[in-house]
Amino acid sequence: MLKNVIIGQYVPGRSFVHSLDPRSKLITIFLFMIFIFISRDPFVLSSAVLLTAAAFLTAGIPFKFFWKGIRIILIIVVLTFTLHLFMTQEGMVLLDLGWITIYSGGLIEGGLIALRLFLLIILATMLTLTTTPVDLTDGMERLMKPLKRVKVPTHELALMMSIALRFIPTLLEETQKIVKAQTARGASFSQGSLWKRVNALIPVLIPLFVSSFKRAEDLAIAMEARGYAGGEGRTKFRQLSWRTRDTMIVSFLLLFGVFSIITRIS
Amino acid sequence: MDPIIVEDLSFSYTAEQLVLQDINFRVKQGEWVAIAGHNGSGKSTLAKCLNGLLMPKSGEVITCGRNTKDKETIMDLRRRAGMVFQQPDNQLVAPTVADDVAFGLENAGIPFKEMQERVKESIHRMKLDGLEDREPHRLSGGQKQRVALAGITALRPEVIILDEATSMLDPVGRQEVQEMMRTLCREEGITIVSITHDVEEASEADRMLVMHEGRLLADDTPREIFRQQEVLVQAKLTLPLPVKLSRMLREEGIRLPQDIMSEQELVDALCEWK
Ligand SMILES: Nc1ncnc2c1ncn2[C@@H]1O[C@H](COP(=O)(O)OP(=O)(O)O)[C@@H](O)[C@H]1O
Ligand SMILES: [Mg+2]
Repeated sequence: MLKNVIIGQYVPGRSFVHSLDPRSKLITIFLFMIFIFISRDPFVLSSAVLLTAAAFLTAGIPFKFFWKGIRIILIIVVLTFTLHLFMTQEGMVLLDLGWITIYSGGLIEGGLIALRLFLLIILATMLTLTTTPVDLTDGMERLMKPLKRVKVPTHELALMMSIALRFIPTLLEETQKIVKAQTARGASFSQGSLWKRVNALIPVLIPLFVSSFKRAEDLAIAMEARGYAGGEGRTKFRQLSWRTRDTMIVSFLLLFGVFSIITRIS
Repeated sequence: MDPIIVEDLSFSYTAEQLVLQDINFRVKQGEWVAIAGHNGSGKSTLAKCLNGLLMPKSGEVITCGRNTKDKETIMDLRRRAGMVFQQPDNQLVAPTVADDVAFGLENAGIPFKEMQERVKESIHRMKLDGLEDREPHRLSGGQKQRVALAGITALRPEVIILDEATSMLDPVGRQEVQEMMRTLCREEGITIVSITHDVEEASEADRMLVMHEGRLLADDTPREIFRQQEVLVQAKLTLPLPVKLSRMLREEGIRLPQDIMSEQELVDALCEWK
């Protein structure tokens, strides 16, 4: 099942979306999210759909791959829709089965929320598909930089994210190794009651924990040996380049936002 | 001045037991020194004292002209004396090869332009071209250790300390890393201190230190140390195969020259044997 989750995977490419600065992508998505969540205007929402579709088409991600990847997450969308459909009691009665009544308001609310979530999921997935995790962390670090003044440890947070990125695959590999080793000793992870299966995980998690602590200690020593002494006075190897296209896309989003706020007020 | 000077060094982690006792030695500029000794004899502890990761309990360690106790110069010292550790996986910090090679340079505050050049140069020197964007977990063990070496050479060090850097590697990876060590020491004149279990690797060194229970048991050329039966027994060292084989052949009455150190020497001697 995990194989089919594509959020967090990077698909190399040279499209317009790929070439944008991670900061502008993050800002764009953030603004976009705010606007579609405050707007109820059909025109704004349909332009939002069109924009998302346009972004998707430009990014050049194979549709089949994308669809397979977000299918599972879409369950959330369906679930939210159903909940709103049954729980909202506004507008005309559309269907009355005695034990359950569906109102037109429920249909509208459910549809609205589902659409917003759907767009959000598509955009978030696309962000991670077109941006390397390293660039993404880098972009976040730069964007968070002003928070440093209010004592948010932005450098440390970014370092944590980057070390996590570095070690997640290593830890996954190690987990697989331990699972194999325990299976060879007769452990079974796919049979028996739920309780038994959960119990079978303990001999996997404990060695994993122990080795993770060892890793953390080794890594800390290695970092010290390589002259790490906090963010002060450090230079950066990775440079982000903000180009005209980034300014353009962010301005465009701002315009879209103004537009959606105007329609909301009037 | 010698790049490494250790005087009357003692160290302990806990109050009860001294892990290092009265250690004295010097390493000359451009020298290759191997440190051998069985598990727990204090080799890693000694290595960590050399670049100020651990502070002496008594005595002095002066590396690259800087006392490890001096807080002012410790960062400078660590830049001049790089260290490669045993576990390839646990010393790479960054998500890609190029980022990792740059890590030490970033810490040193090297400007971007120069950093870019140095990273490129180091990657090329360690024969890692084309792997710049590779994630560490998709590298072989030998490649990982070479990335670690690249991260150190980018800082243009005077000394490189390797703590069993080849012990977790397969034969191919071991060859790769040893070849790099040879280049760095013999061609570029970088001083190498290499802790190793591999006696064949140690036999290449200019000098060999043997540790035993926190003390320096012997300090001599590998050739000389391989002759000292008591030292070998006490430190549980086995002779390199060519050395052992030539001795056994000599005992069988086959007249070979004394002190054959490498496979090549043995092969040459056997070819000339009549
Ligand atoms: N972090 C530590 N805390 C306490 N004792 C340690 C620590 N690291 C090593 N030791 C002890 O110090 C001794 C020397 O260890 P070490 O220097 O790692 O030896 P070697 O590298 O030769 O195998 C061992 O007895 C070991 O148990
Ligand atoms: Mg050790």
